[in-house]
Amino acid sequence: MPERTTPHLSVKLRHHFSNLALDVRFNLTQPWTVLFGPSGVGKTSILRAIAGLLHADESHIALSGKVLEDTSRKAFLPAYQRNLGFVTQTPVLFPHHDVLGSIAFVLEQKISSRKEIADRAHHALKLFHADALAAKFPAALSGGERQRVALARAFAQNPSLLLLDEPFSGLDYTLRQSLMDDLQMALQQTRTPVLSVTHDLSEVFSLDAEVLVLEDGKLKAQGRAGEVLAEQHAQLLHLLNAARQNPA
Amino acid sequence: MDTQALLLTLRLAAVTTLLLLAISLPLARWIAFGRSRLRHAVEALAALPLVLPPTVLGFYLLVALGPATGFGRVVTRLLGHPLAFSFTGLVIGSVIYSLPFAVQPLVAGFRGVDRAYLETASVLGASPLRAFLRVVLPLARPALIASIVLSFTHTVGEFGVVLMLGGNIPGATRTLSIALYDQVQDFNYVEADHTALLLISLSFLALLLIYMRRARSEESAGSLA
Repeated sequence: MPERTTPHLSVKLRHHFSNLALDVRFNLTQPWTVLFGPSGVGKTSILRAIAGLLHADESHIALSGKVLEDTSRKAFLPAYQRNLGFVTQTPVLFPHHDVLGSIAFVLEQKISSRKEIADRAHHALKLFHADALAAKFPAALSGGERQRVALARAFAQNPSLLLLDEPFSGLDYTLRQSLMDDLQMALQQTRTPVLSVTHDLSEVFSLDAEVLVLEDGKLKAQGRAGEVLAEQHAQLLHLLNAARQNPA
Repeated sequence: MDTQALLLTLRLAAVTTLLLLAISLPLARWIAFGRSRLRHAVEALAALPLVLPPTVLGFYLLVALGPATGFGRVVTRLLGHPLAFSFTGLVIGSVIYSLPFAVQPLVAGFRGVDRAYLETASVLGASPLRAFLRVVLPLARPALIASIVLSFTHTVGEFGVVLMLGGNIPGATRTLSIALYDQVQDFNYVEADHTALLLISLSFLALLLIYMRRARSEESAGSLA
């Protein structure tokens, strides 16, 4: 199995929100990195800044040697020139495109052959078991199906880095597991590096990923989950044991 | 019935609507999505014909297009005749007069498109122009239809600007609303009745079209969540 590539992403961000001062600096060192922290600590804002959707007060973001933005030089590459995948908590699908059309929307910009566009769209949909949905419109899709399509669309982009903003948080446990399996498989096939966000401790421990612990807009620790979240890990195990001994 | 006036009115409305569409699409896009501070001034300027008496607009256009200004003299020399009291003059007057009716529905429609769609289009690699053509315009289609229909009907119904600027030349500037005015002045109430009824029917049908389209697009509209 091929090793997944490690992205050379370096991020320096400072931004003042009315209720939060974001000030972080980090480099990605692993194929999969998780930003962990409770809600409201700036996780989503960091992803949005990397994607080019948030103009930070001060920033320097570079990916594989290419500067995406640098406020000191007033450089800012717009989102559409960054080639990053971004899957959000609530998938945003265009209501006037059917599923195939929403993926073709991405591919048309790079490929002119209609047959190749259809082939590659179907391939991306198959990664997430969404091939059968090709002719449906978003209004006819369930939440899980929409998320499958959004993930397939992100992979169709062939992004240099995939940003995941808790894409499974609204789904039930079984669906979440099934989508996570599809995602892992797709990541291995395409060797796409990931920066994801979660406030779910059990998710952090289930992933083979590096963890960035975020608190009140600042980075508190970076490392393997077992190391940087040892205390939380112990608490989690304690809770699990308690639950096992006193099944409700 | 004055068929010549009817045909002239429809021709004026069609030409005006096409020109307005070409002007309003980029203008409304700039007002809705631009960052320049100037855009509020431009938006106010484009709304001005809404509140001005049409005679004010007609008067200034009459002066501007006539021999009193350098512009008017240049145009007169190029065309061989003054723009005032000609079909072209009427088109210019109508475009300015109906501008708010073309621009305002579009601006409202474009602003109504959820920002999440624009951000998603951008993340997916679509340039602002491509996002506008492939995402904003289709989602704002009811606004586009309203803009077209209102431009057309408002031009059909205009009176003051045409009267000031066009006079009453059959086949060139005598529109239905002018013909109606004329017929009443001549105490020809039967003809006037026909003309008035025709104007009402045209406007009613156009508005009916908008509201039917709007109801249908509301039924089929996909929600974001």
